[in-house]
Amino acid sequence: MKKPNTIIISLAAVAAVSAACWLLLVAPGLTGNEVNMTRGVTEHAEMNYSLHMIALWICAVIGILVFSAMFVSIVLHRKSRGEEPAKFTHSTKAEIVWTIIPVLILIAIAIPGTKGVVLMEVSPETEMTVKITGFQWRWKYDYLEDDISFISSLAPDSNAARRLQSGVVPAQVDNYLLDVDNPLVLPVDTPVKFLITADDVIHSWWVPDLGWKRDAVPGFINEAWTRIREPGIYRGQCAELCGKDHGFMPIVLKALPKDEYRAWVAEQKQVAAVEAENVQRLWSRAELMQHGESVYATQCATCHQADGSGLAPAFPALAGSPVAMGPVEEHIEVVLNGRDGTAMQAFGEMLTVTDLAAALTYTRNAFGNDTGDVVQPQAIARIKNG
Amino acid sequence: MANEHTDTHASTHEGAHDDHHDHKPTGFLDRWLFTTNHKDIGTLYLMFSLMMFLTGGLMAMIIRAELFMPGLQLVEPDFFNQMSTMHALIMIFGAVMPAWVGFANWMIPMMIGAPDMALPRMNNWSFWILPFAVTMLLSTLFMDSGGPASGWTLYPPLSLQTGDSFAFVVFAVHMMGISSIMGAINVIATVMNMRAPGMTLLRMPMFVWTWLITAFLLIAVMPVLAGAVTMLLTDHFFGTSFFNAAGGGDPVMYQHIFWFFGHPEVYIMILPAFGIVSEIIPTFARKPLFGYAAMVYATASIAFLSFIVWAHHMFTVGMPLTGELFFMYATMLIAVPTGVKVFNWVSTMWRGAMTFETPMLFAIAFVILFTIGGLSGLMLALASVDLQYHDTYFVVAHFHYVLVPGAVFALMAGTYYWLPKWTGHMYSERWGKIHFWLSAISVNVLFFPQHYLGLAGMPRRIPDYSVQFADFNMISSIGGFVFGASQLIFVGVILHCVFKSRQAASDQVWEGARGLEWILSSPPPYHSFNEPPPINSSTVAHADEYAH
Amino acid sequence: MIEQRDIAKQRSRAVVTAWILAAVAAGIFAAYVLAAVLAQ
Repeated sequence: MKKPNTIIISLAAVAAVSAACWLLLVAPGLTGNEVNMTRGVTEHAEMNYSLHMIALWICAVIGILVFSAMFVSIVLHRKSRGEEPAKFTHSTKAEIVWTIIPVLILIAIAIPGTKGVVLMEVSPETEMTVKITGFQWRWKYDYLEDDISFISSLAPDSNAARRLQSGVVPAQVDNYLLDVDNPLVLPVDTPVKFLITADDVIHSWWVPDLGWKRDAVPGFINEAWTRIREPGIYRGQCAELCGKDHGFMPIVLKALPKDEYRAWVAEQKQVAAVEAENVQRLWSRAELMQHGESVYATQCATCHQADGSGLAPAFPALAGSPVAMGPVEEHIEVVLNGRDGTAMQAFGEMLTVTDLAAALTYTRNAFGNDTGDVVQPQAIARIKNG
Repeated sequence: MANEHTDTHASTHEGAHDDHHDHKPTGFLDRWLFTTNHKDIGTLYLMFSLMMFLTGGLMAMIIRAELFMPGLQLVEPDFFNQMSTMHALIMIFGAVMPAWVGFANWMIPMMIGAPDMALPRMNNWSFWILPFAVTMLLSTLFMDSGGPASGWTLYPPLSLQTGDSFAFVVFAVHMMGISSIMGAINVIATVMNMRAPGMTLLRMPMFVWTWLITAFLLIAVMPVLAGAVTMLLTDHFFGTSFFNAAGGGDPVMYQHIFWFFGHPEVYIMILPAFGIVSEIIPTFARKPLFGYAAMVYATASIAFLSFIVWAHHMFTVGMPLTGELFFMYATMLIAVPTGVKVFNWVSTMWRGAMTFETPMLFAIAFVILFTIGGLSGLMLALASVDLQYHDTYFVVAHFHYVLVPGAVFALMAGTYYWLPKWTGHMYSERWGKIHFWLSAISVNVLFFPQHYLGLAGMPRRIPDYSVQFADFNMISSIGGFVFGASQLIFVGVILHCVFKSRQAASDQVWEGARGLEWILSSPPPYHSFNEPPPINSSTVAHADEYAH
Repeated sequence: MIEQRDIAKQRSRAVVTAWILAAVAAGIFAAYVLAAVLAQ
């Protein structure tokens, strides 16, 4: 009588464990939420997706077998069924079998696994290079061949909504926390080399659709490469804890068809030319204040707060501050070069000369500060050029 | 360590009557502060660890409450980072590791037939360092510069941005490390020298074996951690540049040193769990442990491999191709001895005559859920896919699966298993089972959805997230709150068992229990075995030679 | 007949074991810090 019983129970256990496996691995995807790794738009991402799926299903099958055996045992081999315990204590044959079989499975996984590592580490001839620098808490992109350079920070609407008890419903903000002011723009079908580093602490540059992340380590340069297949907007985040606003330094990558990309590069050069002109001309106080307010909002307000009141103890108030109210040269020096041992960064290389001049003018004349100073872009340019 | 006093103390008691042994110190301070008794010190360790489990758990509740929905509702990001850092430090160094030392103190002398631990006064010291270390660590939360907020790994340069409170963190880690090393020395000295005649190494219970191997891991790697944090200290306060690139140092070198400690540390937390589960399953299957010798060798292999896999925590920092491949292959190899353990547990259950009291339920849940954590670990070993998984919630789900329904469930299983022996009373089986089912279900509601979050692209250690991650974070938080609340039942069951339960436990407690601890009375005498116990097939739990 | 044991002897051996282990731990610490200093 016992035999058919055992077979039915075994089949039932396999069915039950498989159903549980389906419920955990497949069903959640039916809710409309994203629950699996992206297939991405590069050969790295596709490689990693298929490797991930191979490993996942091998693990699922192992799990189904092991857990089914356990459940059969739990159902059948109970004292309450009047079972007598068996006497066996070991079996060298069994031990050998379940040492060798896992080794074979591992070899089967290791072969595609090795290919994946080689694909990542061995880069083809690249056509352009972008240097990525992580700052607390924004990214800077330098296009080495085209001499384009800009900072990419969390978009202002997300930045306002993410304040403690801001009252803004995140669902009503476009791409909450995954949007930036200046996205990284790259051409499709072009092998691009990245040189990744950081200025202050370790960050990690990660766009899931590219299929990898790489740490940005201060003082060291990491290399990575990509070739994007489809135009589109791809979003990612800093992946290595880098301080209080680690969760608020997203990455947005805009992949353009080659001709549109060339148009974008031309436009950026135009912007640079305008900036060069801006540095040369004299600005009115009103112009600087207006521009300065927007620079302050995206670059300074995170720490020093929109009303200049700061965030004690790490971030001093600018309203009535001895620096913002003191000699202008010292103020410029702090903003350009930062202050060692504090969170105050060197903005000299991060912002344009015009932005720096405007932000300085603004902080010296806002929040009740009444120095009346006007800091001209020319003055900053002179100091920067020594 | 001059132990003359203790020596004579022990030898004068030898041969005395049992009632003579039960002369516990009477004053409260004499009994607890100055104690050199392995059971009292074990109790102190376990109570301390339970308190730390609740403290660390409270921090987890704050973390899950903030992550309940998108947007910042409760805490500032910096405080959130302090919570996630402190939660890990407290759970690892305050809860799990001391709990294992508590079990070692209580059980090892009883399991190998010794009167007490080999070095009783050092034992007292290694416990009493801990409350001070943890107080110092927790006090940083109330300092002006705040607690550490750089993650428990304390990676520079970020950790060097911590204010003056950093010195307290480093010294707390030093003290906890010294405590662990002393605990480990005591375990090795006891196991190597204090076994009863006839208790050969390959007759020892699995729990003693796993702890012996754990103790060697501790002695090998805790000094490495101490070295790493000392260098952080001098970089922060004395102007050295070990990890500062501007001064010729290398921040990545810290990660190598840290993970040379950190990976064996993972096994320090899980090997004793393997041991406990290997005690419990045979008892309730009424059948000796399958493949005892293979289990010992598998444990030793895992311990050895733990030293050569550390850089799999660092696949994204940029390593030479050969380095990535070496660490990938070595990491995958760990699946082999771990698989042997899982298969042997299942084989132990196979054709047994099982009953399902609370310890067995936790042990079975351990085997299943730890295996899930182990399988996701195998996926993480693949270096190129790790470039996607790394630093996401997939990793958070993985290590919580091996640590919570892994290490912590084994701790709970062990508590229910030996509580009747320790106290002489039975705990409430009904409430034990309620605790089990609530915990086992909620822990999966808590951690399984985190796999999805990680795969969908949610980084770890962020206080706020994009709305696409909202649903599963909310489910995870609900699971977290239920899991947290369920642990109050655990506390209740323990208190009831110690103070209120009137149901006396027999010496053997469990029908299928075998081993030296079960021939002692429940509760056991103050000094365990002054006279060497008989070593035979009914007292040796699962050495193969006696099993037939 | 159960073998007799000398607990005092066991304990004095344990103390020797403990000192050896403590020395090993201190040695590992020193070796690591020294190596890092020399690497500077």
